Amino acid sequence: MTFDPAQDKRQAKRYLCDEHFKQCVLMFEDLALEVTAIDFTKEGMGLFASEHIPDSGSFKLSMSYENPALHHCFEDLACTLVYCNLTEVGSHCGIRFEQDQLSPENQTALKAIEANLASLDDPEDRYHLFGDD
Amino acid sequence: MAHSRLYLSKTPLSSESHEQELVTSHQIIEKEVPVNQLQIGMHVIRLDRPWLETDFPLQGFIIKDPDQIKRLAEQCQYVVIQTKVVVSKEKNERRVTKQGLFARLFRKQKPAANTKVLANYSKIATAPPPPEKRIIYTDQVGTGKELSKAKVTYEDAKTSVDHLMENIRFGRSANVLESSAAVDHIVDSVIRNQDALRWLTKIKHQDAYTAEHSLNVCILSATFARFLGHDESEIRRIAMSGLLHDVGKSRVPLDILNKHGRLTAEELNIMKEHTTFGKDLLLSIGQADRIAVDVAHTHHERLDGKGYPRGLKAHQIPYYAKIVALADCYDAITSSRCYDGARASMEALDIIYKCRGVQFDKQLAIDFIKCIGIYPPGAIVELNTGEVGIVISANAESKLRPKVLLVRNKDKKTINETPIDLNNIEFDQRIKIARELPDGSFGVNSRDYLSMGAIMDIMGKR
Repeated sequence: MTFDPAQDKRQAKRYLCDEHFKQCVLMFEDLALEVTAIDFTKEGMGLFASEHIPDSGSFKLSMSYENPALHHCFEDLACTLVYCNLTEVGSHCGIRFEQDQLSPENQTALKAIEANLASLDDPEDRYHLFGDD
Repeated sequence: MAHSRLYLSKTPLSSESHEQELVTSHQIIEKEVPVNQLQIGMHVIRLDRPWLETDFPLQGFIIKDPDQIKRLAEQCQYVVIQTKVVVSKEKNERRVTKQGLFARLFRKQKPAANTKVLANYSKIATAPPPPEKRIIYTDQVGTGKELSKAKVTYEDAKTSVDHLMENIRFGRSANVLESSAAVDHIVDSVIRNQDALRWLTKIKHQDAYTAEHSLNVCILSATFARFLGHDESEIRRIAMSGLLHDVGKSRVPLDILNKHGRLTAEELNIMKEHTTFGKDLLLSIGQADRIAVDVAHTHHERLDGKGYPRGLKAHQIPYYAKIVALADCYDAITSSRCYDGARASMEALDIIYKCRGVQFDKQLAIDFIKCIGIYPPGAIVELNTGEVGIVISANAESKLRPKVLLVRNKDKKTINETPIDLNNIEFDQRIKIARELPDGSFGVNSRDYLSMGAIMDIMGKR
């Protein structure tokens, strides 16, 4: 995933997270923050929190992804903050998984989740609301 | 108020027996009642403290169950109830106190006015209209034609909001009612055409965030209320609430409001006080609709009870605040701040979709996404051919295949603006939108094309 604000902030397609993302928690040095998984690729995620997200370069992410076919639990995934948009509505941020710190098992699991989300993705109807269109 | 005449036999005052005419009427009176004397059926109209300091979402209600009595007892010492009493007067007495035409007029109008106020509040919507009562609006004029008027409306309204916020900030007298004219023009435009003003909400200026945001939330709330099928008076009320929802920010220190850089947790907490500031301000000015006061206070409450300032539960959040909260979130995410650029419409819709039922009302969130559409007017999009364009307007019959103004070729080089209708059956149906891009991608800003007149030229030909 590449980010270039001057050109295109997002070259890689991000898939809308489904309801199987559970217990997403960002862990900073002295703070654990519950977040909502918004969108996903095997390289990073978009997250949303009702709280203030600290201005910290690196932190850890824990989450689980459980559906009938896949069952993955991630603990302490090393991440970096790519952007953070703090608003009164909530904090919206993009994070990148530190690829060089990912175990082979986690890399495989992240790819499997991305493939699963890609199979569910309808580029013309992201929220499956316009089926009769 | 019900009036009735009764002819009753009275004990004669003199030895001569006679029949005397009595006039009875119902009068509405207010009475203070200690909370330990409350009963089901009593109509509570005031508390011994502001409603907004309690967890009662409606300002006035009839007690229907013991739980409400218990909650009142937990939060108040006494309440004011409204009740009817029967007043009987002898006809002669009435004549003595008669004070002329205007006095009679006044006496008759006063209760009528009270009745009207009560009737208005009983009409406050708590949900979208049911299908059989839903008003289906159709655009009366094309987007191109409306856009020139909408630009004037937008600029006038922005000036009005600027004045209001400045007056409050500098302690000058603020006239909220002046903004109602601006709201009327906005609602008129939204009813004539749903896209024109929405187009202008895409044109963001980083240095004018607060005023533009208030205005955009007003426009988006009105557009959403129209989509939900509310009547015009309801749309105006929702729009006004949207316009005033962030008025409390005029009490937030400017160095926090306009900070170039991320806010600290402490600064964000100060920023969050704008909800309480807004409520206090509107109450002190005393001109705003109570609904607008409620919305200013509660638009950051969440369904899961984790919102602010009071952490209200889902059922305690007013319906209007749930509508404005969606417009607020959408515009906040898609706006440039001093410290960060805007996100694409799709990212804001992703957040609303994912937070439905937790932060936002579930069904309203889905309706809001449908209202905005996947590719709203002004969105920057990349086609599957690699070309980049700006969405001009949605196709009512196919929201996924809007009209687009192409401005970059597949190599992302500037080209002469070329309008295409993706829904035109003569057009290659394999060509479609691949994705939406944030404003500014590949150097394409919808604001530039609007100010150059390219958009209006194209739409004017429609």
